[in-house]
Amino acid sequence: MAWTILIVDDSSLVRSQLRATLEAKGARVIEAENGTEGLWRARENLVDLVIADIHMPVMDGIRMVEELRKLEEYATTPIFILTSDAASSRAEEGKKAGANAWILKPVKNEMLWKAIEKALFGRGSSMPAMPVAAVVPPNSSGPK
Amino acid sequence: MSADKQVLVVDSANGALSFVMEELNDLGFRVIWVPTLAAALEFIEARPSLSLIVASASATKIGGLEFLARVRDFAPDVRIIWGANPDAPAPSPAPASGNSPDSLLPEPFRKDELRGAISELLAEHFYPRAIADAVKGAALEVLGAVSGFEVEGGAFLVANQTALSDLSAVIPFAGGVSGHLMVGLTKDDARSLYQAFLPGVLPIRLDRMEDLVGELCNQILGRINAFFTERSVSIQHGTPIFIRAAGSTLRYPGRQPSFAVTLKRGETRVALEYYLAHFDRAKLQAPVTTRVLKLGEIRYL
Repeated sequence: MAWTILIVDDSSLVRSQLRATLEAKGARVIEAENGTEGLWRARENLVDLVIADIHMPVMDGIRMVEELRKLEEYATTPIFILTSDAASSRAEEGKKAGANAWILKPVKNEMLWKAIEKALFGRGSSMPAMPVAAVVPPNSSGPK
Repeated sequence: MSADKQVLVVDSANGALSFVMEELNDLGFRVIWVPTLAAALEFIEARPSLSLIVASASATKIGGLEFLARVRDFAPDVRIIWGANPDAPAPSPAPASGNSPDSLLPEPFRKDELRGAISELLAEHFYPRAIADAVKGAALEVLGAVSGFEVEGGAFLVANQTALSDLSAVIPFAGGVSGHLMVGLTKDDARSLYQAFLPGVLPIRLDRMEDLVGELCNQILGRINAFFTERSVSIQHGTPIFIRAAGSTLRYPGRQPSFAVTLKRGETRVALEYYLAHFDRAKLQAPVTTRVLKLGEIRYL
């Protein structure tokens, strides 16, 4: 079964570019425009990996990652920050919030896909969407 | 105002340079007008801390070469724009002489040409070369994702009003430095660029084109900020503000000039306006102390 990847970015261009890349590799893609919608989508669909921007209206990416990590089912899910912010101090904030990787935009498609494979290999494929109450925590083994 | 933010305009009473005087004033320079080379020399000998001399051919018909030599003696760092009247002998532009002007322009002055020469010679006062290079480099790096972009002409200073493109995005930033970056495109250029970034999407709605402008602004500003971050200057920036205002101008009286660059790929142009309200010049001399990520680099946390 295909991996399900949640893209959270306020730019429709970035979301569309990522969607095209990931779907071409066989992944299923879910989109959200900001951190609040990202949380909602993540609760609605158990996803295998999250790619989130930082600078977004309503709720920024760092806050969203913090909130996601509070959810049992997302305790070990790989979360990538995809941002234009190159500062190491910001990357440290991302780490503290619970992100696994910090990627600078614009990223090359192949490089991103390799990072996704590295993060998800051995974790198994996603389960079908189901209500949060019925979600079984994903396999936490394998590289983060 | 610092003493070196002064410009001496040498012009006979015919007012050929009056528009320049207004623009220099808008750029934040104190403009001193004198009618003859003799008066100019007297002024320079007394106060050599000048940024620029703009001399009209009408005032420089006699004694031009001697004047240039004397100026170089008293104020070797001053930049000189010289008006060349086709009917009168102009000073030799041969660099070997050491007495040549920095810019020799035919008169009557064309506004754009004179404005460009002034910007080129005065930009350093507001945007040191390192910052100017960082702005241009950042734009080329981000737009390099769709190769073929180059900087069109030179960068120039914008005094206190900007002609807006069809679609513009502005992102303010604050922290160790503050200001804003604005990116503007025409609708046609935005459409063409969108297709380059994401082929096959048709039709391209206006909000999607606008989104492209915002994302370019975001990514380019991120790269410019990396230049400061490397020098331990911390900066925070937010999300883009969008302006749809073809044919309008944005005015901001009383502030220092911004730095404008246009990038070109075929017929497509991307206009950038970078404004720094304040920054610590000493930081620019500091060695790079902080490592920042390169474009597309992945850092595992």
